[in-house]
Order: sequence, then structure tokens, then C-alpha cells
Amino acid sequence: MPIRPLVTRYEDDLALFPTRWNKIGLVVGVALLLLAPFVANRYWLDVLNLTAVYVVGAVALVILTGFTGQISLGHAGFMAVGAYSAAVLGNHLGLPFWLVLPVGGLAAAGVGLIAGPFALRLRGLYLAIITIGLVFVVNHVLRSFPSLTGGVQGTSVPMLWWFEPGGATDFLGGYRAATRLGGMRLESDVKIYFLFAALAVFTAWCGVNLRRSNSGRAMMAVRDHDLAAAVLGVSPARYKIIAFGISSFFAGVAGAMYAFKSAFITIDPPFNMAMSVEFIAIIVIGGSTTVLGAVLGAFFYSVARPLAESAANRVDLLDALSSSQQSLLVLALLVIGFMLVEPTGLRGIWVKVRLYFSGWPFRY
Amino acid sequence: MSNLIQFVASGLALGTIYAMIALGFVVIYRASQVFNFAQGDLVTVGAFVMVVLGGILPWPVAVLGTMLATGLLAAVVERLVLRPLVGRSVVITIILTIFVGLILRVMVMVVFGPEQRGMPTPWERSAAVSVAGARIFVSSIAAVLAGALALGAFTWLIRRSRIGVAMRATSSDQEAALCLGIPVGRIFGFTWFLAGAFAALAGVFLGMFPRTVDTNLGFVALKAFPVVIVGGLDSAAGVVIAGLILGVVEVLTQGYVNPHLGQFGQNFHEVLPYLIMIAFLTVRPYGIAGRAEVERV
Amino acid sequence: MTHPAPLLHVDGVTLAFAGLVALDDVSLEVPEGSLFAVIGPNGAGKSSLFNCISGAYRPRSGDIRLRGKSLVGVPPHQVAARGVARTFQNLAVFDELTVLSNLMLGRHHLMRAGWLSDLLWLRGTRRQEVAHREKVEQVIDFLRLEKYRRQPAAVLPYGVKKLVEVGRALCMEPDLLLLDEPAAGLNQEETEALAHYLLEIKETFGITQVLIEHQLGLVLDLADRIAVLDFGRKVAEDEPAAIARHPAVVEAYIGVGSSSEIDGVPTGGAT
Repeated sequence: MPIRPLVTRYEDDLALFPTRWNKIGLVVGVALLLLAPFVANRYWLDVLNLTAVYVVGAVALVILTGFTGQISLGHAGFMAVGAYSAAVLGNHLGLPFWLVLPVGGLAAAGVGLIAGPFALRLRGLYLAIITIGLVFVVNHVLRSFPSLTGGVQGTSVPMLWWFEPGGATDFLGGYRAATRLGGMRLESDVKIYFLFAALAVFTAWCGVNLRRSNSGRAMMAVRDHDLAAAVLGVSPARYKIIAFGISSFFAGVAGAMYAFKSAFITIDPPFNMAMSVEFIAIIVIGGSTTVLGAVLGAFFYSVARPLAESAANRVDLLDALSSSQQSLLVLALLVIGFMLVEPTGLRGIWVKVRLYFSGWPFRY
Repeated sequence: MSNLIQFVASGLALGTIYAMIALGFVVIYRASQVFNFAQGDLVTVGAFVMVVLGGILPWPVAVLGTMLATGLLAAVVERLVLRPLVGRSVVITIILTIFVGLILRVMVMVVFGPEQRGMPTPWERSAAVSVAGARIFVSSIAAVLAGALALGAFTWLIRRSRIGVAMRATSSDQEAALCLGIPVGRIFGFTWFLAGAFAALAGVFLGMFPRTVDTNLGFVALKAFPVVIVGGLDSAAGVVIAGLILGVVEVLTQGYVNPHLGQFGQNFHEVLPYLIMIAFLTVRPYGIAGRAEVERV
Repeated sequence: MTHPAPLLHVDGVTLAFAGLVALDDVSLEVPEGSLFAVIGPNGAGKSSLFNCISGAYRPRSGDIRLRGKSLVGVPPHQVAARGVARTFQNLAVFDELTVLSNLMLGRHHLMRAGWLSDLLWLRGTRRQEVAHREKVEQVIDFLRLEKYRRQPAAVLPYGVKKLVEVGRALCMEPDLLLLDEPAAGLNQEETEALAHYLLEIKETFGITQVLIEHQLGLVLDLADRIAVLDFGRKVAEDEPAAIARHPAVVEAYIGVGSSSEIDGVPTGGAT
């Protein structure tokens, strides 16, 4: 049973995986992550890759909305900036993927820092509305430079060129090159998987770090009571801006990941209000104030969505709907259900379950 | 010149529609501090209900019936979903109404199917009158007249009727209103009813301009956000004025400014209201007629 | 009695909201190391005074100086860095954070690691967390909050929340501590414990305190000097014994026609 060892040093108290059971869980988790792509078929591998994009995007939103209390409907705008930066830099400058990812993030962070100052003056509702405006403005600007972005036609992302040696020559033909790595054949999907899994873990780790350190505490203080935070020496303006910067950086990375995965992107869809709303749904379902919630929400959403779609296909009434509409319907019902019944989300349920078993077999 | 008259006329019609949608936001917001992101989807619902009712009832009756039905639906939504969360944070109600809107849109699709429908009109669809050489659509004139009529009825309701007094009392102090025996919950429901009715009216006329009705109709409400901000979230008069101004500005921009901006000008008029909104939010966040909130610690 | 230079000097402060005068030409001198109390009926402007000192409000005229340096126009978070801590009349603990995190926030203005270091959990951040944790543990010891350390503040009893707020202010190691009705809502036992802590803060930590309080008994027991506010004006300022007999206090605070004997408090200067 998860018993905490006696803590004798403050350093030990800061460990992320303090107990033996935590450590076992960590090892099992890593093993699952490493084995997954060899067990999953192509369809589920695709779902997993998408999950990683959702994890990065959801953690980004949790930092802004969950930690700092700044609601944003502009998430899709930041992701669009990241995605198009990746595409443009790859296509026109030929930058490698490992450089494109952070640069895409930085481009989005730049936009976030422009939007951030508005958040200093506006709260709640006004911020929500102005961030909707952000999505429209970003999309309009992207459409205005068709020579770079392909305009409404969209643009290809040199994903295969990055991930497959011969990919560039046979671009859309479905040709998948395989490389050899330690005797194993790794397809491009699997390579993307490892890259994405690492990014998702890294982002989640950053989110957890923030939460357990001074900056994250300051953000949560600003969220809960900004004057009380200020009299403690926390500058609300500073931490809102920092939250906007970090959040839009990771949103940009998530956008770049989305572009890699899609290989061909357009502006709207997918980078519209519906996408912003999707991410809000993910964090609400997961439990909106923690990193664990964001991760749970992302997994739940990406796994539940295909399941919900196949279920909806069996209901004649829902035939009229496209698959994305079906998933949005499921999502909307879930969000409303969670808000009315379990406002702390999946994480809240998890905490309750853990609490129950921590006293097992005794019930209080 | 005739171009200008034509642009202004259709701008005013568009502005009236914006104003009606925005009025719905304001009515709900003043009573319960909830910003209803589902407003646009109520517009869609209204348009589809009108498509059906317009086929079986005389036009004026169908319009009233549509307003009634959509209003009732909105009141039911309020009772089922919003009421249990009264007093929760703004962020919660924002998220909630967004998803209520999603469900409404999907419901419309399930009930009416994804096909486009024609909006019934009692006059010839492209009927127009000539004014100084400009062709002005009868639909535009009807939209402005109906908007004025609805606004008049609304003003009477707020100023003179019992429920109007109760609404004003609720908006100035919910607890005090409750103590005086005003059924605050039912007032919330009634404000949703009004918002639904306004949305339906907007939907009826909006459906006449693209001349078709589909489930994307509600996206126009996204353009009513700038109207609400520019007018002032708590000012009915403000949003009506802002609606008319932004409607005219949008059409004039489309006609006179877009062509000069090259590639950037494509659909520039669609983004312009947001740019105006952003400017207002920086300079005068409470809008042209709203009250600045004095924050006391 | 000697008069050391005042730590806090409130000089003719006037504050108005839309025509309503909240503070009218209020002047105070709070000597270093003293416990200064401000009393007065509801709406007398006591909390407004705190809000002016901590930078939430900007007075219309007058000056507020800490060690001779003006605090007027300094934003709240910088006032904190200059050594002013405060608690709020309506609790302002961060409900969703644990007691430990609440207290660690008191160390915020002393922490130097940047956001990037925090994000990546670099050595600076790790060291800082440990170093400041030690100071926080001293405060936890002092206020006997050990058993609440890991609980979110939301679930704590009211009295403990009030202590956490005081503790958070102590963690700031301030020169000046502003306490806004710390005893409001506490029972007799908790009030006595609080009184003990406040004296200890003065004696052991040597922190200057300004106390707003409604319980006259507590104030008369603890304070070195008391100012009385009414309708935004200072109507009296004196030693506790004299204040208890002051006609303006009896009128403004206890009501006209009361005897000079205040409930349970001997007014003969015995305190």
C-alpha cells in the first residue's frame, strides 16, 4: 500500500515519486510508453500521436486557465501560429524538425506576449471575447499571405522530408520508408510517436514543476485573490504575462506537432473556435486546475472520441451528423455532465478512488 | 451615390440583426451576470423553427410563434442547465453556455437534417424598391421595421410592466430583490425567454439575406460580440446604437475599403469589427454607454 | 517614555470615492517596535487606511512614509517588498493551496529564481525551495500549524485560516505588519491564543504591528497606543488607559449615555 516513507530532509519532500509504489508506477508507465507503438496497430498509433498533441495543448491551457485563472478562447490561434511557423520554416528555410518545434513555440509565444497585456486590463468575460477576436485576426493574417501559407488552399508540411530519408521524392503516394534502428524497423509513425511522447512527457513535467515552485504558486495566488497576491509581493501583471508566454509557447509547440502529424494543413478548419472549445472541454473533463487533469482529459478525449463515433454510427437518429459533430456532441454532454455533477473532473474521481484505497481494507 | 444608399440600407438591416442578438446578451447579463455564448445557436434554432412554421401559418403569426417557441426553449435551457450553477464563477458559466450552444446546434441538425432550407417570405424574395436610383430590398426594410417594433415592445416592457420593474430590481441587487419577494429564479428564466425571442427574430431576418438557412447561421453571433463590447455590456441602448453603427461600417468597408487592400483586404470587413472591439477594450472597456465598474476592495 | 523615530508616518491622508470621503486628513505616527491599534465603528475608514498603506488605494492627498520613504503611488507588490505585510478583514488565504504553499507564498518577495528555472526545476529553484522551507517551518512551529501542513486551506476551520493568514504575513519577515480584525469571528479561546501570538510577535520577532480590531478589550490589553477613527476622521489618539475614558471614544464607539465602565474592562488605568 502507498505508505509514505518518513521524510527526514526537505529535499526528499520535493521528490515527484516519493514512495516505492510511486516508483513502481513510474517504471510501469515508462515501459508502457515504450512498448505501446509496437503493440498498437496503425489506427491506434495514430490515436496515440494525436493524444500527445492534446496533452501538450491541454497542459498549455491549464497553465493559463487552470493555474492563472485567465480564460482563453484563443488557444486555436496560438496553435495556428505554431503550425504555420513549422510549415513555413520547413518549406522555405529547410530547418530541421528539432529546430522548428521550439521556434514554432517561440513564434506563438510572441503572439501571446502581444495578447498578454490585454489580459492585464480585462478579466473573465472580456478576456474570453478578446481572445475570440485573436483567433479571427490570426487566421485573417495567415490567409493574407498565400505565398507563404498557401492561403485558403492550405500548405504541405515537410513532415516526410524530415522523418523519412526518401520521403520527399514520393510525397503523397503513401510510401512509407523504414529505417533500421538497432535491428528494428521503425516506421515514420513510430518515430513520430517517440518524438511526440517525449514532448508530451516533457511538457507535463514542466507543468508539474511550475505548480510545485514559486512561479506556479504565484500564478495560483493571482487566480484566487489578486490583491492578496499583490500584498505578498506577487506582481499580478508579471505573472499573467509569464503565464501567457509559457502557455502560448506550448500551444505553439502543440500546433507544430499537429502540423507534423497532419502533413498538410489548412487554416479553418481546424484552427477555429471549435478547436479552442475542444481544449477547454478537455481540461474541464480532466479537472481544470492540475497537470494530471489535463493529461487524463487528453487521454480520455482522444480515446473516447473514436469510440463515441462508432457508437453514434449505430444510432440512426445521429446519422445526419458528421463524425466531428458527433464527437462534439459527446464532448458537450460530458462537459455539462461533469460541471453539474463532478466539477473537479476525472482527477477528482481519481483522488477519491485513491483516498478510498489508501485506507483499504478499512473504510472510514 | 446610389451605391452608398444601397450600402447604408443593407448595413442598417445587418446592424438591426446584430442589435437584436446583442440585446439578448445584455438582457441575460444584466439579470444574472451570465454571458450567453449559446445566443448564436438560438438564432439558428429560431431560423429553422420559422422555416417549418412559415410553411403552415400566415407569416406574421409564424414569426410570433417562432419567437415564442425559441424563447420557451431558451427558458427551459436556463432552468435545466444554468439554474443549478447560479452564483458560480464567470469562467464556469462561459464554458457551460458554449457547450449548451454546441448541443443546440447538433439538435437542430438531428431534427431538421443538414440540408439548407429556404426562408419563407411573404414578399418576392428579391423584391426591392427604388430610392434615388438605389435598389433597397424589401427584406432589409422589413428587418429594420421589425427590429424597431421589437425594441419598442421591449422598452415598454422594461419601463412600464411589473415584470420589467422586477427585472430592473434583480439586476441592481439580486439579494435585495429576493428579500422583497421577487422570484429571482423566474426572472432569470424570463430573461432567457426574451433573449431567445430576440434571437429568433434575428434568425428570421438573417435567413432572408443569404436566402438560405443552415446550421452555420449562428456564427453571426460571433460578430455580435464586438457589438456588445462596443455598446457596453450593461446597456441596451448602447448595443442598439453600436449594432447599427457596426452593421453600416461593415458593409461600407466591404464596399469601399476591401478592394484597396489587396490580398489583405479579402474578407477584411469580417475582421474589422474585432479590431474596433480590441481598440475599445483598450481605451474604453465598458463601451460607449456602459458604466465603468468601480472596484472596491 | 522616549520617542524613537516613527517607522510608519501617515501624514494628512485624505481618500474619497465618488464624493464619499472615506478618510479625512488622518495623521498617525507608529514608532518602531510598537503595537499600534486603530479602532472605530464600521465604515469609519479603518480598512481604507490599510488599503492606502498597502498601495491598493491611492490617497487624494497627504503622504504615507515608511522609514521616511513615501509609499504613495507604489504598487501593492512593491510595498510588500519594502517590508509591509498585511492580513485581510475577509479572509484572503488561497483556498485551493495547501497551508504549506500559502506560507511559502509569504516568501515570494525573497525568492530569486526566475520562471524558466522554475519551469525546468533547475538547481536554483530546488535550493530555494529547501532554503525557504526552513523559515516557513519555523513559523509553522511558532503558530502550531504542524498538523495542517498538507491540507488545502479550504477545509480548515475558520480560526486556523486566520492563523494561516497571520503566518503567511510573518513568513514575509516584514518590518511592519498590518492586521485587519484578526480576532473577528474567533471564539474566546482562539482570541486568547491570538493575543499571545501578537505579543510574542512584538517581543520576540520585534515586528511593528498596526492592529484594527473591534474587540475593545483585546485592544486595550495589547496596544501601546490607540487611535480612534470615526467617519474618516481621527477623533482621538492616546495610551489605552486614557482612550478608554476618552469622551469621543465613549460616544463614537460605545454610544452616548454609557457609563465610562466598559464591559469587563477596568478603566482606572490598571491595564
